[in-house]
Amino acid sequence: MLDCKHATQLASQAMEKQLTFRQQMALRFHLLMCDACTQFTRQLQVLRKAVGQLGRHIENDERLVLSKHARERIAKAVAIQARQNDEARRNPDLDSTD
Amino acid sequence: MTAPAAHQHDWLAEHGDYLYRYALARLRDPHLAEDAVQETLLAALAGSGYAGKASPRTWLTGILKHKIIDHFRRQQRETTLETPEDISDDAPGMDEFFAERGHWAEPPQSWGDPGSLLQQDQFLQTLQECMDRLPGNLARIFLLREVEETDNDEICKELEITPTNAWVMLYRARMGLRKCLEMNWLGGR
Ligand SMILES: [Zn+2]
Repeated sequence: MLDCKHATQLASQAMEKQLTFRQQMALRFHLLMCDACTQFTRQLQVLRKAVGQLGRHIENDERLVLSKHARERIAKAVAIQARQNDEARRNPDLDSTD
Repeated sequence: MTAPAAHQHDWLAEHGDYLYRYALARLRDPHLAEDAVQETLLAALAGSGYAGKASPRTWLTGILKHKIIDHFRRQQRETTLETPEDISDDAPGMDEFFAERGHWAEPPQSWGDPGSLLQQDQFLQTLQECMDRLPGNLARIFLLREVEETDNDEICKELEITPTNAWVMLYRARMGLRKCLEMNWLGGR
């Protein structure tokens, strides 16, 4: 007989992969008799949806933009890199020693 | 063979904010997200260049995704060095949740209708606070799993951890989050 501790472990694993038939049966049987673990498995589904939703909120929130400071820093780094690329392109033999 | 100088698209202006939000959704840290955008744009310049197959944004996002996973992997290595993960069949360290004989110390409560929960700003905000409080390695793997929707095999490969390690960490993350939510959201309702 599965205890709650192991039932929650199986319920969490079931979010990742297909359980074996035996594991599925054991978990299902436990959930039939255990309201706490039934709530737990519902909570796992809510967590998954909610965390995904939070991520999408951030992705779609157009108020979240690079700070002026960060933008300037990145622009500077990009400019330096671009200049180095150009120089390397213009002097392809610069690195060869002979 | 005078290769024409690569046309300098202003990727920062056109896609910088989009990339920043993409990174922020996964790293949940403004400074890390800024750094990831910078690394991405530098890598985009340094590489063989934009081949024009996908849209520039899709291409840049692909680079960013690798940068984020690289970051996760480095962090993972560091935490593994600090605390060698205990690898066992049972998830250890869960005694705060369970009493003797594997019974719940505090049985989970009903959270009500999931559909309306996801509309409640207060629930989502508390969830965010709970995520911020999770140990970093648990928060990272959980975000990788649930926001990036990376499957388990991929997580193990990218983070260089064993499948057992991965599921124990995901299990702990979920246990920690739901307890935190019951204490701070359900309890404070
Ligand atoms: Zn139970």
